[in-house]
Amino acid sequence: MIELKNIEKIYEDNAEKTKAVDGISLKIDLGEMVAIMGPSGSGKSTLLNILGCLEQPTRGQYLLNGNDVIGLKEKQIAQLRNQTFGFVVQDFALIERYSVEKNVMLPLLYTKISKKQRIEKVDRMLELVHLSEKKRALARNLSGGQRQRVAIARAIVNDANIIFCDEPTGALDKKTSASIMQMFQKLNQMGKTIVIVTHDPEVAKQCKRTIFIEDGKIK
Amino acid sequence: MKVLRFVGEDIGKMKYRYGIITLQIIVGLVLFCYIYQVSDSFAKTTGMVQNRLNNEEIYMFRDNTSDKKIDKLLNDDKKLKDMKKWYAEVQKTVAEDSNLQSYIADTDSDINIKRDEYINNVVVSENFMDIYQIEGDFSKTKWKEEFFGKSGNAEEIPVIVGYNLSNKYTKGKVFMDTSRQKYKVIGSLKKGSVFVEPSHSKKYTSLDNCILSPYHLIEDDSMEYWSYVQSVYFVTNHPEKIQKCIVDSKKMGLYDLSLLDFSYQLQCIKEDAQDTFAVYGMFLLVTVAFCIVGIIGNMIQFINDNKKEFAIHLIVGANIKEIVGRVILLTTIQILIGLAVVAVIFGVNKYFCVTAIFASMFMIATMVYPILFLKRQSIRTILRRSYE
Ligand SMILES: Nc1ncnc2c1ncn2[C@@H]1O[C@H](COP(=O)(O)OP(=O)(O)OP(=O)(O)O)[C@@H](O)[C@H]1O
Ligand SMILES: [Mg+2]
Repeated sequence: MIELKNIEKIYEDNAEKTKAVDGISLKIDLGEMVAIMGPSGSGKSTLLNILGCLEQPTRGQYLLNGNDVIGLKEKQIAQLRNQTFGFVVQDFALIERYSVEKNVMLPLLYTKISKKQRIEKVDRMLELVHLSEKKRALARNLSGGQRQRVAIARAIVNDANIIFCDEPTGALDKKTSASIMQMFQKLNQMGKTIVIVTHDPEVAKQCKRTIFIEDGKIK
Repeated sequence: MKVLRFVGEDIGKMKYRYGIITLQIIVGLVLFCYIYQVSDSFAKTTGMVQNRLNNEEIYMFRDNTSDKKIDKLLNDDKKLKDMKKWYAEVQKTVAEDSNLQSYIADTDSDINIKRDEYINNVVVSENFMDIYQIEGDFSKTKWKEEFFGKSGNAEEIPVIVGYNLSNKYTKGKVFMDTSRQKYKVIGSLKKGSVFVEPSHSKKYTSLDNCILSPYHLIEDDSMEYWSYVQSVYFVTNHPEKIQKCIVDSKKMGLYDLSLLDFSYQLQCIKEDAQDTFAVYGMFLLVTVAFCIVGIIGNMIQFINDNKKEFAIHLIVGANIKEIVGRVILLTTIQILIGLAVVAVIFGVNKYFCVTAIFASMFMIATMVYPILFLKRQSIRTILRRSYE
């Protein structure tokens, strides 16, 4: 279970302070599929990044299955990102000059898995997201939907259990969005926890629960 | 291991720029080592002399004798006897005073080995090597005997060759000049050996392209005394005793001499050496700046070009240390290549070590930027900045 207690995040930019997250407490059960909604600038991405350990909160407590995450060493946090969390963001964050296969393999390069196993795993993931035939294509030559599928494959290739998505359908048309959402549904049925930040009510509708945020607080 | 793998990729991705900067670093380090070596040996060779010149002056005789009188002095047997007497007195004056030395360093008798081919020959007295702390591949006691043991009209004149001539004129070699006089090489000088010749030059005179041959005064030749008077140097800070010799010479009806002091020329020589050091220092600074700009520029460019990629790596599980390591390793490889080239060119010696220390200090300094940049910012900020 993911549990946040009184999380605060203050940015200091040229002496100007912004409270992006203002005392949020929440619980997300493993296996849940949750949407986070709210107006622009309300702190959704900041919250998601704290959940995914891409950022440290200024104050508050973060427990993962009862264990304190904030006190962990950088190396252990990196390991969490590598093995437990997966990320899917709006702009895909792929390495453009790499092939699809290599993009998906990237998390595995930070593990001790053998080369043969790596290739097997990547193949399985690409099958899951229906991209096997694009294996050797360069990321820069893919369409938006295909890119997002590469990002999803990369998020789960190392058996991540919790997937954080920041507007994963934000740059996609309706039809492609729907197919991506279907994919998340499938992953959720496989038992993965999914947290999606979104502006799209259609996306939120497909989640079992929606958390609304405004001005850094839960509404 | 995985860091190495990515570093390999990084180099491949920007091979031209990386190559050029590596070249820049090689040139920088080689220049650094070279300039350091040159200035260090210059410091060594001039240091002693410089010290000496701070405390003592060099003097010479100025010969004001009229041509008519010289004619007489050269041809009159009685005068030759007086001259011998006077010469002995000068030698005695010098020998009795520990603060007064005299030596000969005559550069006006080059050896003509072929038509139009001359070697600079410096005819030196026995104490020349001590006065200028000149060293070479010979033991001090042995060479004196070999060098000065034979008389002035020996069949083979023993010579010591300057560093640059030592490959051609190896120890033991005998060569001949155009008048069939034979010379035998008995040793060579250390690179960068110098002396001063204030009557000719306002700089240190290098012995690298010279040959040293022994000075002998042939006692019964009045010409010899005349040239002695014209080529002897005195080193002292109390010239009064030489003044007395000058007075005696006049009294005895010999040469009309006066004392020539070279304080202006010596000042020039000292300042010239200081200028040379300033120039070396400037060069060193420039090479250092050249290196620093190269490496830091390279690093900043590399980080900027790769922000997004670093962020992606961090998101999928790299830790900051691995990314910092990757950036630093890129530079480390360049510096190691540079040092390897330095080692090949100069050998692994004191100069190499100093260059290596310089390179590593400098590397530590250049690490500050990537560490600060990557450690201070959250992954999200790095990712976001990569789109700016
Ligand atoms: N690195 C940063 N430095 C300073 N301020 C920041 C930083 N990141 C976010 N903020 C500020 O924090 C607040 C919340 O930002 P956040 O990106 O979490 O909003 P959001 O809800 O995701 O918005 P959107 O829907 O537009 O993506 C905003 O006011 C933003 O300007
Ligand atoms: Mg956002």
